[in-house]
Amino acid sequence: MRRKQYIVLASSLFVFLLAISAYKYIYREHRDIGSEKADFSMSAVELKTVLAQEAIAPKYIDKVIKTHGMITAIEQQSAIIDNKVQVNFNGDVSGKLSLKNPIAIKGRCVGYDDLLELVKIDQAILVSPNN
Amino acid sequence: MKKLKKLLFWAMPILAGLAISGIQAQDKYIDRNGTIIFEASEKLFEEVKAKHESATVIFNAENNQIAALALVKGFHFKNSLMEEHFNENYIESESYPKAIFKGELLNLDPEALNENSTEVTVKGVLELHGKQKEIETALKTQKVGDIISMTGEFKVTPADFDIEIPKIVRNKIAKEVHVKMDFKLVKK
Repeated sequence: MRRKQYIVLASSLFVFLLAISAYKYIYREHRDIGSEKADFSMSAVELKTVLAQEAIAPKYIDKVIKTHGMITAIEQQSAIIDNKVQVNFNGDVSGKLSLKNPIAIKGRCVGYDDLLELVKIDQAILVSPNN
Repeated sequence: MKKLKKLLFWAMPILAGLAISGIQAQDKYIDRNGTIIFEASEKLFEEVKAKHESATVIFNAENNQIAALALVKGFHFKNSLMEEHFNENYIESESYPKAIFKGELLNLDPEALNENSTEVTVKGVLELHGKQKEIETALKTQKVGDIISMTGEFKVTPADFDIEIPKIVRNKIAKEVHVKMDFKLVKK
C-alpha cells in the first residue's frame, strides 16, 4: 500500500516538473540585450563598412554590438550616428540625446538597410564610452 | 565641326551637373521607423503576430515610386520561441534577411494630397524568402505639412513565398496572413 502511494506521489511530481520545464521552454523570456556582453565593438563608420559587405555581414547580424560616434539625427525613440547607423532604443531616452553630441550605445544588430545605406540596431541602451 | 566638338566638350560637364542637381532636387519622403504588423492567428490558439517598428519607406513624389524595406530580424513576437521558429524554420532570415517592396502609387498627384484622407492604389512587387509576389492594395493617404501618412493592409499566404508550415502546427496558423502598414513619411 505504501509503495503504491509512493509511486503515485513520485510520478505526479515528475509530471509536474515536466509541465513546468515545458512551460518554461515555450514561454521563455526574450533576450535581454542590455545585460549581454558585446560581441563586437567598433565605431559607427567601421560598422557600416563591414555590414555593407554582404559576404561578411551575417557574422554581425543578431549579435550584440557596441558602437559610438556623433548624433546626426534624432527621431522619436531612435538616433542616427554619423549618418551610418540607426539605433532604436529600448525604453525612453528622450531628453538624453542631443544633436551633434557624442554617443555610445550597445544594442542588437538587425542588419543592413541598402535603401538608406544604414546599419540598423534595435533594443539599444546608452553606455559610457570607456568600458 | 571642330567648334561644335569644343562646345560639346565644355557643355557636357555642365549638362551632367544640371542632371545631377535635378536628381538631388527630387521630392523624397522618408520614414525610417515605419510600422508593419502581420498576423496569422487562429481562434482558440495562441496569437501568431509580429510587429516591426523600424521599417524603411521611401516615397519619391516626382515619379510616385515607393519602396519599403523591413529587415526580417526586426519582427518581434510576444513569444520568443515563436520568434526563433519564425526566423529559423519559416522565413529563414539568415539566408533571406530582407523583405522588400517596390512599387508605384497609381493615379496620384502628390500636389493634391491634403489633410483629408484619400485612398490611393499602390501596386508593386513584394520580395521575401527569395520569392516575389505582386501586391495591389489601397492606402489611406493624407498630408499634413511636410508629413505624408499612409496606412493600409493586404493579405498574403505562406505558400505565396514557398514557406511550408509543418503539419503539426498547421491548424494553429491561419492560411492567410494579414499585413498592416502604418507609415509617416517626412520630406527630406
